Amino acid sequence: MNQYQHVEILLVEDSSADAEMTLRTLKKRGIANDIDWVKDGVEALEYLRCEGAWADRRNGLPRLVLLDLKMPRMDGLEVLRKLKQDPRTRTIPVVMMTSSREEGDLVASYSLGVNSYIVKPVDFDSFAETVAQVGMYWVLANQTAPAPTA
Amino acid sequence: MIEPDETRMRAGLDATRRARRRSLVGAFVALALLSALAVNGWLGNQRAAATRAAVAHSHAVLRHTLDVESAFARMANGHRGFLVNGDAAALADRDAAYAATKARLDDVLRETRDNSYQQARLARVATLVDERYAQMRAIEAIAARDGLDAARAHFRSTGARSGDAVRAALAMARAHEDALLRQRDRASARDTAMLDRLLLVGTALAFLVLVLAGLALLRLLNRTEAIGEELRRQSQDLHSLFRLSRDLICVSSLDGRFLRLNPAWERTLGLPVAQMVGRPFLEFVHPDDIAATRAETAALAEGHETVSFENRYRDADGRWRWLLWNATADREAGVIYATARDITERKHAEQRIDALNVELQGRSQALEAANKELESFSYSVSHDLRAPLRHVDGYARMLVEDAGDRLQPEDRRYLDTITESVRRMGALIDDLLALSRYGRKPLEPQRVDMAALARDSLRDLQPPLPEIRIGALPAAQGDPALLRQVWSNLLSNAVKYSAPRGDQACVEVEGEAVDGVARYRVRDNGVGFDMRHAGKLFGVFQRLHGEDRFEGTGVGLAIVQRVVHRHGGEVRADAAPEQGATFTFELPAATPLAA
Repeated sequence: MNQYQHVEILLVEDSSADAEMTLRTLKKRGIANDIDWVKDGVEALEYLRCEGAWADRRNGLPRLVLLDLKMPRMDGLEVLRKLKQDPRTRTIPVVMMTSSREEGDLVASYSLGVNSYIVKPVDFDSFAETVAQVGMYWVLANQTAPAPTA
Repeated sequence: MIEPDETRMRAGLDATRRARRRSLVGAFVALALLSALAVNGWLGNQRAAATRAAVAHSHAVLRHTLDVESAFARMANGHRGFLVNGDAAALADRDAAYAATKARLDDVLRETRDNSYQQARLARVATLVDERYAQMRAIEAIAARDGLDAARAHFRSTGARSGDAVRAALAMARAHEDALLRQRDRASARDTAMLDRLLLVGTALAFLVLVLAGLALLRLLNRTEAIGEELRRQSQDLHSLFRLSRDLICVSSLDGRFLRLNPAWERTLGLPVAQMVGRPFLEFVHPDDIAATRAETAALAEGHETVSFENRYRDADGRWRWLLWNATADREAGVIYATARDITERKHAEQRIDALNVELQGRSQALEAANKELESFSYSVSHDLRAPLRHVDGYARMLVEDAGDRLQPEDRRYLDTITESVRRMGALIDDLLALSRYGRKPLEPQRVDMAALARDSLRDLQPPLPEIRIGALPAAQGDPALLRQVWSNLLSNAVKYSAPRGDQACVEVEGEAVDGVARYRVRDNGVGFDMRHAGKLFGVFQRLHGEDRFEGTGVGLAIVQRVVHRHGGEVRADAAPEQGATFTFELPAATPLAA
């Protein structure tokens, strides 16, 4: 597995603790090894569009985007909207991983076309279990759409 | 209200006009009849007078004929007397009688000048008389020449016959006059009879017409009286209405001057009506209302109606009274009829209400702002407080996973305590968010089957469950999602606190509806509590039992109370230590189903 291998998951998460817990779980359970982590929405868009710091990236589009809702600069809802509006990225499954169970966030996410909405459990066991299930399903079980040619 | 009166009055006036025409025509006809009668009577009288004159004339003619005859007889007698004894005096008598005869005959001739028949007859008589007289003179001459005896002899041969002819001619003249007289009598009688009939019929007709005209007149009088009465009554009503009305009534000219004002004006503004009449009403209007009032008056003058127009009038004390106007103009008469009501109190009340509304709006905005703040607070609680908790727990668990073999049992216990505390704090946050959500969620009241809802909420409870008896419950009017949480919290409490009773644990739910209030009771035979602490029961995070004995965050009953209060209901608890507890809550009963 080298760095030109296709990336499996893009984790968009401003909290390094959450990111570490997520990465640890996914790797420890052998679900995904090629995971890239960005810390906010702006960076996430640059990553996906191979712009800015990620201009030289060659590892293609991820099979899954795990998106935090509340982030500095650009929040998860905005990232979601831009991804789903862009023909290049609209087929990538996006799973919202958030602490918020506010109805407004749920409704907004689904109307923007989110593929799944997960509330992060406080308790670590549940958290790890949830992250593992999400990874298992979207990365291992789910068939992604072929990458758009355009 | 006015229209039928007007119609009736108009009909009355029409009838009156008809009756007046009829009685006038009647009187005229009667007058004409009577005039005709008078003319006829006068003419009849004239005719009768003429007839009477003719009759008298006939009588005179007859009398004078007799005079002629008697004078002629005297003439014959004188002649005969001369013949008997040759008396010259007798001759003188005879000659005088002859002159008288001729004179009377002339009278009669004069009197019958217009009657040719009589003239002829009388001319004959005159001739006969003259002939007779000539005979007498001849006999007289014989006597003077041949003696009396010769004369007597001559007389006997001629005399008697000649006299008879005169008498016969006179008799014929008399007979003719008699016939005339009879004819005139008959004509006179006929005229009289005709006149009588005419008088009778004419009088009867005139009487009839007069009676009819009189009847019409009577009816006219009756009707006029009735109309007068009606007018008096209406005018009385109008006057009373005008005088007693609490509303202000006024008549003003189109150019805006008061013409008539009812006493309510004085009662309302405190200004004598006499001071206001004749003055422009704009003098009394609030400066800020003058333009609108002027425009309204102009609209009235153009034929528009004023409906619910408001302006302010100055009263005697210089205060402003709000008046609510309705008005209409009679442009032909050049006047405006208007009524106004003093709505000052209402206006002030409205102003107070407006002020209160503004205040209320301010408070409601403040409340809304507070609500928004609470929302963003709970959002950040939900997100920002949970994240570090998750990290605390996560890292504690990762430590256990990675360094489990190197940790002392005491270290493990510390880490377990961290994990347990995180779990409890997570539960507290969740409950706090629930409390906030149940306080904010808009109510969607509907008819709720409370027994079904209570049974459904049992699914939230962790088995094993004690015996739970849910009786017949009245339906409530409320939000089913919120009320379900009430049942869930109360029943889970009852189950939790009666758990120490083991197999004996029992929870009962019952209820009734009284006077539109539905009351529900949840009773358990659990550990109960001391009523001295009942005040704390529904407070947030308030607990009456140690957490080691009973789990819980102390938010459940606070949620129950919040939901029940939001429905306008009440909740209370009744308990004693180790004697079980009863929670009672009241809600609006469901409105009866439409049949």
